[in-house]
Amino acid sequence: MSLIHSDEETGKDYAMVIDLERCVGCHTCAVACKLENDTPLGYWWNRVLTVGGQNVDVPAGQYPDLSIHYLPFACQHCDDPPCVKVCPVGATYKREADGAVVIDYERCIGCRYCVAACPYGVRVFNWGPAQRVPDFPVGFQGVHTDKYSSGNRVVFEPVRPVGVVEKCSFCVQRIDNDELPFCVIVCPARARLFGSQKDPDSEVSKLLRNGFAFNLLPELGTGPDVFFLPPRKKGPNLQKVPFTLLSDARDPVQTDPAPANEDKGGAQ
Amino acid sequence: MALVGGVAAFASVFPAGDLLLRSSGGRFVPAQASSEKTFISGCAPDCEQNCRLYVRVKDGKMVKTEPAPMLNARYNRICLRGLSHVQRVYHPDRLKYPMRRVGKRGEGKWERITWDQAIDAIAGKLGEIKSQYGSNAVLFLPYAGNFGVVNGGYLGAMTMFANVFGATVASNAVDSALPLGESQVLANIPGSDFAHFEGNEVADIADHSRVIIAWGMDTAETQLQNWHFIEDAIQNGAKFIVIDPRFSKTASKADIWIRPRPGSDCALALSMIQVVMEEGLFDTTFLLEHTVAPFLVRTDNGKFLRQGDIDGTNSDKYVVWDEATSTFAAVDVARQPALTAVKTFNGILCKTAFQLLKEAMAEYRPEAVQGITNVSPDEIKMLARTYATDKPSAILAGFGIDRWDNGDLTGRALATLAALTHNIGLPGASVGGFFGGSSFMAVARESWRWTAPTWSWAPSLNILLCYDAVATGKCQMYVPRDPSKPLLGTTSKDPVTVPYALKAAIITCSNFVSNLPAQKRIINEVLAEDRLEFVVVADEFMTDTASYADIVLPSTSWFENDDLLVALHPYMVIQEKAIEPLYEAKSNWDFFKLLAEKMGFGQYFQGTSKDMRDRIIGALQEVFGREKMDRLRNEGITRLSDEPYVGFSDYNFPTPSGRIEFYAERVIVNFPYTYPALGVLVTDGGDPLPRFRPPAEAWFENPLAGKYPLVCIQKHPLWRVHSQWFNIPWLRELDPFPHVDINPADARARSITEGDLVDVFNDRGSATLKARLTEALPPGMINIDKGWQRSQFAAGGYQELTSDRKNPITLNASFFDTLVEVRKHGGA
Amino acid sequence: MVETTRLQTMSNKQFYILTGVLLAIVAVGAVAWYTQITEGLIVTGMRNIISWGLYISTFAWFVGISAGGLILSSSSQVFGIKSWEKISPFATLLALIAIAMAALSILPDLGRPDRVLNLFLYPQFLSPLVWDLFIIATYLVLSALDLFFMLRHRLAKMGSRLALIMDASEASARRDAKAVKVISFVALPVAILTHSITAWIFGLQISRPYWNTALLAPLFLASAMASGLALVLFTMIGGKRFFGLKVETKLLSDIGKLLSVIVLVDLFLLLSEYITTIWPGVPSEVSSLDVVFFGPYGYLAWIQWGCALLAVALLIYPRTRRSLAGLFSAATLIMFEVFIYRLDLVIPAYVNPLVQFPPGTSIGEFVQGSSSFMLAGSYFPTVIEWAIVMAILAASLLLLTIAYRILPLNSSEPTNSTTSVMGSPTARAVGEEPR
Repeated sequence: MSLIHSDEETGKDYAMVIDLERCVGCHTCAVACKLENDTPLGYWWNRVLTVGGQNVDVPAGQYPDLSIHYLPFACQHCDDPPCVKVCPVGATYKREADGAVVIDYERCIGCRYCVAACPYGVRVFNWGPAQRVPDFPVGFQGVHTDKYSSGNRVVFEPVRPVGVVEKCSFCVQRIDNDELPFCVIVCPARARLFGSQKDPDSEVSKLLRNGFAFNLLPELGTGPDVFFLPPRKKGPNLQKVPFTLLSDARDPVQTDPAPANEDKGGAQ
Repeated sequence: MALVGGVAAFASVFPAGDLLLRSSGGRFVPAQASSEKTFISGCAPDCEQNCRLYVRVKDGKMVKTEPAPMLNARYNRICLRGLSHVQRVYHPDRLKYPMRRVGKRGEGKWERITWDQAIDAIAGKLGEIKSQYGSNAVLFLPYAGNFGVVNGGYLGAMTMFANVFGATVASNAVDSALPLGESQVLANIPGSDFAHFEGNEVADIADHSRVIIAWGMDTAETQLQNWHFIEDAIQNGAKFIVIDPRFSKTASKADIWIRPRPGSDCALALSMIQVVMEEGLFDTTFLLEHTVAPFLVRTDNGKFLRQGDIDGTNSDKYVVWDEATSTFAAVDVARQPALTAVKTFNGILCKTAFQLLKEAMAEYRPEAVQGITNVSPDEIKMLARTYATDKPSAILAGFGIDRWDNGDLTGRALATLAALTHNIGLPGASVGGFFGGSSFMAVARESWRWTAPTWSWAPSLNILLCYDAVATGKCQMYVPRDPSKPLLGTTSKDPVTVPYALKAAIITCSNFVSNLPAQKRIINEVLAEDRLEFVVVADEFMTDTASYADIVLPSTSWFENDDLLVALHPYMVIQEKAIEPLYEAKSNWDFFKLLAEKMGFGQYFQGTSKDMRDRIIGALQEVFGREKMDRLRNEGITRLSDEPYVGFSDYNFPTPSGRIEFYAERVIVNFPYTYPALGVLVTDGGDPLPRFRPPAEAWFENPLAGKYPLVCIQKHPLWRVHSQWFNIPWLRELDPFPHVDINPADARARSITEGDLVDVFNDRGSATLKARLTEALPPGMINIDKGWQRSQFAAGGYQELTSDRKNPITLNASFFDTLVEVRKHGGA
Repeated sequence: MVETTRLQTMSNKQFYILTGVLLAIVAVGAVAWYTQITEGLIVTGMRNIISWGLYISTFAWFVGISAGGLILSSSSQVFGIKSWEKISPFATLLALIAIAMAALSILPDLGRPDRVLNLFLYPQFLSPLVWDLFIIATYLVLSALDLFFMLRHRLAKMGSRLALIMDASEASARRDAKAVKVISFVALPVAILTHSITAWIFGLQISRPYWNTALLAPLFLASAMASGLALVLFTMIGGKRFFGLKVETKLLSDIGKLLSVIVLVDLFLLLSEYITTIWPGVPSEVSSLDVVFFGPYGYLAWIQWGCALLAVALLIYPRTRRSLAGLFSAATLIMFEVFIYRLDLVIPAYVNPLVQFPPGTSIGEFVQGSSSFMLAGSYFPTVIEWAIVMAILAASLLLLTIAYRILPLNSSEPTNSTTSVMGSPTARAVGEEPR
């Protein structure tokens, strides 16, 4: 049964690809998300996890076999989202237009069933009046209703009401204006890519085709639209990440593509 | 009706208001959107990445910062700090108005005063001190807190005022040793820029280097915007090697990670030189043509053999052994100079510089340095062979190897290594930092055109020497033999004691109480009320330094004034004023203008900082041409250097011989200077060749290590730039409290477990903070991230632990050359 | 003639004192809830990792204890167990109050109770919560109707307006009896569905491996029946001892026997779950169980098992089973352990998120000088939560007390017998004035 209310098709199916080889755990994307979405203190939609030892920036292993990697982590925008299935009022839904999983902040009743249902633990709840510094709205600031769904779904507002759930929405307020999610733009390592899986020429599609990308918790069948490229060096810490490497080898893949050499033709 | 009313009443208590309408699905009409304006500015701290920013302003308030395009999209950038500006600009703790101390210095009691009162007080006091001790007794203490030309520490308003008034300007004592050593080999004519800033531009390294060695350099954390270039290089097949005692983020990405003993990097580099020379991996042609390798050196006095020595003329041409004719010949006529030659002339044994280097390196064979460096001979040989043969190779030398007493020796060794293997002056081949073609150096070189409107320059004194000058009235330093050439002269062999009175300090763009070594000495001796009679600090926040002021002045953030951003990347960016100054904050320009007007020389401070910026651009136009400056005016950004920048690509080395001088007749000294790197002096004597000397304190052979066995470093973390951003809530959520990183074995031996409160201490002071156990540090080494203020520690402060030792040649703060012990707090 | 008597419980003064105390507790709870509404759920102990706690456990527990009553009374109809017929109205009343309180107890858990209408405006039919909404509503209506038809004739006979239809004839009694029978046939499967759906709220979630077992619905059924029957025993023994409720000890003892079987079934299901996890030893699954028994809330699991086993012992050993004290203790223990079971189901399942790396999850609260993140969840209910839960309990007792006062629950005759209702003139309630 269709859970989506959609008037328009955009012909897109967005995916994000994060290259764990390039990521150095600088948290720029995490802070960018806080700025763009004006997330209160104590709430992080997007966080950067350390896959290594028992603390942030602490590696696993013993000299000389030390290893550490970073896992930027937010809503996985699943194709079969458990959160969407359990929401009793349909406040959270997957947009048929482009696959982003969003929340209507004006409909959510705050039952937190979706928080229980999400296997990734990426949804956060507004427990109380938010603390913000500064105390005026920053970032996107405006109210944004879903451009591609009927029913006046308020999928972004600068101050979410107390008692509703919120989470990464692929910056729905930006992608609806043909801009990239903010975390993608700011990443100093150029580790993030965003594009439509339906477009065979997008960088994202190319990367997904070569078979090295993986999802988190794939055995659950949620079908996330957030993919990761494995780091090139394996270390003792990588056993902890709940994924299966699709292949042992990793070809160097350019994520900063050089201008395409179009002239492949020639005298026949 | 009652039901609806009841529900409405029920709904109305919710904090977000007007909910009934929303929950019933009523159409929500957003408030009328106010207009949002966009300005372009730049982030100006000493991160050396300096991002160009879009600043979104709504209703006069800054609401967002985003990356703005550089001329080359590969340089587009922003980081977690640049994204937190809204929290920094509108932080509740921003200094709001001028204040005067009541009570003791450092007690923290203030009374509010007006700007007029402040200016009057400062002008009065400066006048007093000038008449009593001379204007040089006023110390202007800038640092790297602002890379805006007009309002920053070295290129604008502050320097102008100091020059006109005749104050003493404190000069740089940080990041100076390694560059000095590199310049010793590559650019040792006084007046040259530090060779460190002539490394290749990072884009060139990304595209062309086959081997990249990050030595004492944690790019992924401290040069974040350069990281993706290295990843590009790796993905192009470059081999990435990291040499660092710490398993840093950068080391975690390396193909090969070498973990030397802390402070032994120089010996490691010398050993690589030994391997290169022994296995013949050097570039003979390059050595013969562009280095002093073939020059004959007299073993009686260590000087180069000159033509005049041979034929009795005045000729000072260098002499080589010409194998074609089997005679001595001047270097410009010899047909086949010998790389190795031992010849006697008039009873004087002469050897080529190459020969002397080889002999000097004999004691640094890999097997011999294994005990010093903790690196195996196989690894050393592999390093040397890889670097020398898989060319072009780049050594990215970081300040991790600078902060030791022997940092300059390491610089010399690295430059020599690059010279031997011809890994310099070519695309992909570089030694030094990533800073080639930087706008900062280009503008600093020309700043004399506007910073000295009366054509007199203030004397400078190295900040470490200022400690002694204030505390004791005198300091020890090399001085120029010819006082009429204060910046370009030579010195005697040994430092001399110089009386120097400093009675007042004006401090902006600096948090030196937190960022310079020996904090207790600073607080107790330098800032003692009977030593420094008057202290003025201008800052955005009540930092450690501002806490010890007599008068505190509120500064604007970078977005509250117009300026011109220069950086250690090639671009120069117009900074537009985006918002009005908050509270009573004033920019440095406005502050010094008011003060100058009060003191009778306001005519040099015409107009606003925007006007000054325009004048500066006009001055730069005379050097760099109209096209580049018009681009700046029209597009807001320009580039002054060639693209891509390859340092020394013309092989013009600013040395007396014009060649790379791995053997030098004289040693350069970090004479106090203001930016740019003018004024290194030259001393007679010193080491003509690179050699190893252990660190002054943090070395296993130091008997002090029995009492204080742990080496304590203070790495620069992502969370701050030096001490800026120390109080930003988003960043504090991620990095909530100071911690000392300690190896689990060291922790276990001291019964310390994760999260325990511990004291880190030595004879100079102590800090109390939480422990974080990590295998990233080797046993015997701990780290406390830089930038925490004293108030953030449970007790004490980390900067109490460091020493203000003065190596008379480098005059550099050797922060890492520190021994400490750690124990659980409150227990034995 | 049939003598129906209203239960004379106590003097008015005592009644008002009792209801006054209960009302006071309810009032405190109301103030607590008001605080929660104005300040948000941050006044509870829940945060982003453990985001369900006491409220949801209370909800599940109330749903569970409503099972016993309706299953008792429906089974007596469907399976013709005559001895239970006498206590059917009482049991049904318990079920009705319990399910009504269950519906109420979900409200404090909502972040936006002002938007509760959205559940009816925009129901999303794949959500087990929506299923639960409908089934609980159905259950509530059925219990109410069941009780109504059981008591209508008596009320009519007494002349009480609560009867709604004042026909006190035998024919109407027969019609009522038929209605009860029909309702019982529907109510039994509805009761089973109610607890299964409540279980499926948790059991269908792949995000919490500890919940995600096919055994969860049977477990909920078993524990619901156990706690429901225990509730019946508990209130009946209390009623018999203090409020003159007429019920035979033998009947109670028989219920006790049934209860012991059900608890054993419940424990068996749990054991099956444990063995199926431990024997193969798949680390991710064993770790969930490890958290339950040896994690920060491990004491809950041990308390639960301890109470359950002790209760079973009390019920199997004939001497205790036949004594009111023994039965009462066992019933209390079982209600308590089922409540602990609900808590112990919800909380440990949240402690370790599936993706768990430093710094952890942002907890939704900013404390200066502390990290906003935690690796593992931690929860303890706050005073506000206890106050609200106590208020709901008090409210249910209050409703029960008022129902005792005004409804003709006590009868020496079966309410739905199709045989003659000519009763013995000697049959009368304790404390009744002879006519």
